[in-house]
Amino acid sequence: MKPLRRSIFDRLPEILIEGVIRLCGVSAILLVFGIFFFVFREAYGLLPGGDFRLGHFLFDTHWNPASQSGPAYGTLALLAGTASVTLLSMAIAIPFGLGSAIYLSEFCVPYRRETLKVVIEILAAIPSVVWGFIGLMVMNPLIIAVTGAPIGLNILNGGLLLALMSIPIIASLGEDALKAVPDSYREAGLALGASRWQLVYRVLLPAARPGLLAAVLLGLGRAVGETMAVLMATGHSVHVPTSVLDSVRTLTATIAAELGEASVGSHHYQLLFLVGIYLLAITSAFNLAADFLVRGRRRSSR
Amino acid sequence: MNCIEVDGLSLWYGDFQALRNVSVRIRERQITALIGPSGCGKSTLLRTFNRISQRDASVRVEGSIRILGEEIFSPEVSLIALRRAVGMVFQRPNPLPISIFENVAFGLRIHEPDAAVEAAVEEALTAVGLWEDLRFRLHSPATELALEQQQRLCIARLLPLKPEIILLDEPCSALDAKATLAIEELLGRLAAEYSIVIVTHSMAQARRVSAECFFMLLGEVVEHGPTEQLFTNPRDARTGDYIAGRFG
Ligand SMILES: Nc1ncnc2c1ncn2[C@@H]1O[C@H](COP(=O)(O)OP(=O)(O)OP(=O)(O)O)[C@@H](O)[C@H]1O
Ligand SMILES: [Mg+2]
Repeated sequence: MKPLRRSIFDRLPEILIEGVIRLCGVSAILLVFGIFFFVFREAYGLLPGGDFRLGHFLFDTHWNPASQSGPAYGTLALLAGTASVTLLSMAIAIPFGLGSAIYLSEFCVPYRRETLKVVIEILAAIPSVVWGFIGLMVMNPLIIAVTGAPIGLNILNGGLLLALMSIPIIASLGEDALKAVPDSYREAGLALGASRWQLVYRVLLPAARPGLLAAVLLGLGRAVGETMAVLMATGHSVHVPTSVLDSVRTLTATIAAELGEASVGSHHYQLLFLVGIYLLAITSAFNLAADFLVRGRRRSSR
Repeated sequence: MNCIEVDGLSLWYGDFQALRNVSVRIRERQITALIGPSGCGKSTLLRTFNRISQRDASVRVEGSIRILGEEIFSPEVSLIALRRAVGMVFQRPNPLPISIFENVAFGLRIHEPDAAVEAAVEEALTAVGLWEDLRFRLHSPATELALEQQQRLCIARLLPLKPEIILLDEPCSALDAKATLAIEELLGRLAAEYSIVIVTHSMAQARRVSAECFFMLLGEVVEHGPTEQLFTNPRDARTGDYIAGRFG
C-alpha cells in the first residue's frame, strides 16, 4: 500500500509554483512603491530648500519655472487646463460610451455585435500620437473653418480627442458590466411588461451600476493621464481658460514638453517631478474613490 | 369560462420541436397543474402563454393561443398589455436588485406612473403574508430576503397590476418542505381571485394544489382532466405509468 503521507519531494512542484505566484504578487506591490520612491526622491530637493511655498505651487496661475529673474511655479492654470479638457471629454464620452455599451449588450443582433466589438477594439488600440496627429492635421483646420477661431489647437480639439480615446474603454467595459447582469433580472422585468427602454433604465442600469461606474472612472483615468494627444492638440498657452476655444496646457503636457529642457537636478527639474506627484495624487484619488464607490454599491445591493 | 385556449400549438427551438400540436383549455379562477418528466416541454408551454419564450430568436411557433378571448400571436396584440394581464413567477426567485418596496411597486411604476403606490404595495404584501414581517424594512434590498420570502415577493409584485392569470414555473423547487407548504397555501388563497397555472415536478404537489391537471410527454399533452380523476383513474396507459413512478 502506498503511504498516506506525502514526501517533501511530491510536494516540491507545488511549493515552487506557490513561490513563483507569491513573487509575482509581491513584485507588483514593490513596483508601485518603487515608482513612488523614485518620483519623490527626484522632487525631494525642493522641500528643505526654504523658499518653496506650497500655496504658490497649488494656487498661483503663473508657471515660468525656468526664469532666472523670478521663477514662478503656480500650477493652477495647468490644473485648469487638465480639468477643462477632461471635463469636456467626459461630457462627450460618458453618454456615447454608455450608449454604445447599452446598444451592444441589449439591442444589437449577435453578428453585428461581434463586428462592432472588433471595431471598438481597433479604436482602443490607436496610439495616442496618432490621435495627436489627427488633432493637428484634421481637427485643427476643421475647428478653424467651423468656429472661426484663430487657432484650432484648443480645449475643444483636445476634449474631442480624449473623448474618442475614452469611448472605447467605457463602451467595452460597460458592455461587460451589462452582460454580467443575470438574465433572470431581464426576464423578471420583461415578464412584468417592461418595454426594452424601461428594462434598461429601471433594471439593468441599477443592477450594473458598480461596473458601469468603474468603466466611466477608467475612461476618466485615461483622459486625465493622457499626454501625447493633448500635447499636440491643445496649444501651449498657460492660462485659466474662459471658453472651449481657448488654448490651454495640461499638467501632463507640461511635464512632457519641459522635462527634456530642464537640466537634471535643477530647480525646474525638481518642480516637474513635483507636478508628477501632484498628478499621481489626483489619479490615485480617483481610483480610490472608484474603488470605494464600487465596493459600497456592491455591499448595499446584496 | 376558459382563460386560456390553445389550438394546434407547435414550437421549435431551431430544428428541435419542443411542442407538438398542443391543444388545451385552461379554466379561470382555479389552479391548473402541468406535470410531466423533465424535458417534456412544460416550461416551454408555460413561457409561451406570455410569449417570453420568443425572446430566444431561434424560436418559431405555429398554431393559436387565445387569452381572455384574444389571439396573442396577432400582430395587433401588445406584448406589454399581454404581460400585464399574465404575470409570471420563475423557478429561482428573481427579485430585482432594488428595494423590497420598489420590487412591488415596479409594475405600477412602468404601467401607471401616476398610481398611488404605497397603498398598493401594502395590499400586495399583505396578500402574500409578508407585510407584518417586512413593513419596517421596506427599503432594504430585496435580494437579502430568505428564499421563501423572495418567492412570496415575486408573487406579490404581480398583484398591484391585477393580472388575470398567474403562471408559476416550479415555484417551490428552490424551497424547503415547510416553505413549499406555505407557498401552496398562499396559492390556494389566490385561486379565489386569479387563474393560476403551475408547472411542477412533484406529482404530490400537483395533487395537493390543483383542481385540473395536464400530463405532458415529449412535447405533447397526453391527458387532461380533473386532478383527482387523473391520479386515481388515468385514461392513458402512459399517464398511469408516470404517476405510478415507472418512468420520469
Ligand atoms: N432555449 C432552448 N434552446 C433549445 N432547446 C431548448 C431550449 N429550451 C428548452 N429546450 C429543449 O426543449 C425541451 C423542453 O424544454 P422545457 O424546458 O420546456 O422542459 P420542461 O418540461 O420544463 O423540463 P424541466 O422539468 O426539466 O424543467 C427540452 O428537450 C429542452 O432541451
Ligand atoms: Mg422547466
